[in-house]
Amino acid sequence: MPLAFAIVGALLLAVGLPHSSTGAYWTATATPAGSVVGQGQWCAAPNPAVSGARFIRLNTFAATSATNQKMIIVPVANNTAWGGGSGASAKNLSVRLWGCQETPVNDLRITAWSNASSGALAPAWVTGSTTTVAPTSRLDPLSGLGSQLSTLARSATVRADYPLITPPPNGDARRYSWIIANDRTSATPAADPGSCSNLLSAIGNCLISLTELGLGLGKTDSSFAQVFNTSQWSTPTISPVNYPARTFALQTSAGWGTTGAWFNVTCTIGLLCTTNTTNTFLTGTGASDSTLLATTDGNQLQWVVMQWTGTTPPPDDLVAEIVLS
Amino acid sequence: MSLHRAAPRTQSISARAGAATSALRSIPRSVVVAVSSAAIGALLLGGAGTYARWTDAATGSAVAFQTGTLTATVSAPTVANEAMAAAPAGVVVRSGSSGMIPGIQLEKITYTVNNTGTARARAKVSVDITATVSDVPAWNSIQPYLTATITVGASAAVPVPAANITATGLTGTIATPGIVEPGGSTAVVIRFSLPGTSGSVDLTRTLQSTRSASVAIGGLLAFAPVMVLVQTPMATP
Repeated sequence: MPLAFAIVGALLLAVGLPHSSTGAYWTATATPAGSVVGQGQWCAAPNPAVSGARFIRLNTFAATSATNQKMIIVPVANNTAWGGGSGASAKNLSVRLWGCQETPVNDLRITAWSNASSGALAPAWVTGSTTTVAPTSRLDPLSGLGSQLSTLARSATVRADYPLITPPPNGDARRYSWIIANDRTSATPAADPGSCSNLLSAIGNCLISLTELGLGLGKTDSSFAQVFNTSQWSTPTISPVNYPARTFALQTSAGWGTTGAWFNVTCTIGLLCTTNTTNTFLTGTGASDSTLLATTDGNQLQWVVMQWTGTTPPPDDLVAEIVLS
Repeated sequence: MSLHRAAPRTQSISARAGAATSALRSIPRSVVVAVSSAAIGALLLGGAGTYARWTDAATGSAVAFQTGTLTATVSAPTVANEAMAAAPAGVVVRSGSSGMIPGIQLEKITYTVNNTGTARARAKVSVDITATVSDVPAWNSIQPYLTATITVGASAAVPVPAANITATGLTGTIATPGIVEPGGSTAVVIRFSLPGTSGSVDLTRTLQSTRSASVAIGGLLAFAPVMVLVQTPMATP
């Protein structure tokens, strides 16, 4: 036992010894030139899976409405699913285009339509139902009401078959809202079709597509390069282009006129027509989505028709956002 | 007489000893023994007070006393991009863009460190990672997600601890296992990166507002590192 205590004591003493037996190490330093640490430059379009179904990638358009043409038809109302709640507050309809491409190809047309004042066709659905008006709903462009709307939207290429500017009650002028059509570009995203000057002398038979109205005849779809922001690198962050929906429809205190429109003339060569236009806005909502889907009042329901034309699908960063604001 | 004188002295000593014994009784025996042993040990080691010594002699191993210098030099930095993963859907990287892009591209800064001292000593590499913030708003957004690693030669990458990435930039000295041999050189690679996501946060979208305004690296941090060589013990001959 005393031996153990002696050892412990010796160790205690050793701990107290100067640390002269430890080595000292050389050190050296060198300072290089400084450098910069920082971010690169990238562009990220909204991700529909995160931002919501009102954001739609163009390459997800499923229906083939014509050769090299893809289309979707989306019902829009001022209801809860679209963020409108009770619908008490009127909201304007518009579409924002998001994209990162500098030289995108393909063509685009986006229009909106109300239901016909009479002779409504039955809807057929790709997703959704007659009881749902939601960002996820898709009307089938190849059947029933969808087929009619598809034809109206595509009429620039089949114009001879559809006398769209004939007056009410047979005409479709009151149903029509332009979003990306009629010569709109990213530089003039809120432009209206302008005067009816193209009717003055060039149309011999009064058969012309509403979507062709513009500063001249033969308006076709807008190219992606015309309507997307192709200068995303010049701004601090991605900047969309907002295209407000505008219409000829006669909007009264009771709602959207079902038999009239500002564009309400008989096509007569040389006639100056009225071209009053207004925002397409959505007001009160119906008692149910079923009621909304059946209404002929364009202030309660709009069918947004989007179509792109091209031989290759658009890239993932080209996104259309349907907006009520 | 002497006995007569001696008797009281003996008594006095006995009295003092009795008092000391009484005091010692109040101290734990183990402590007393330990302290006593320590004192004895000290006496034995120092040998003070002894008049005879044991002596002996033996030849030990040779001890090399090294002289010279340990000197480091370092090259200018080489800045490059390094791919992390393909861009996710809907994300486009500008052609020729340099710098960090969350989850897609990291920034790699490479230095060559040379051990040029005359002492021919092996040395470990440490890096003082001082960096100051150049763009405070961007840094406030990026700092929680920034990752930095240091790789020396073929050794494993050493992550810079989160504690060294602060609101005011980078700070501290990071030791690495990397060795640079005498007269040799080694690459010191520092990588800065951001993850593509953090939990449910999509950083390619949320950090987009901090992106560089051009293809050049955005001015987030002014990085001014210092390379430190620390001699390692010589191998046993």
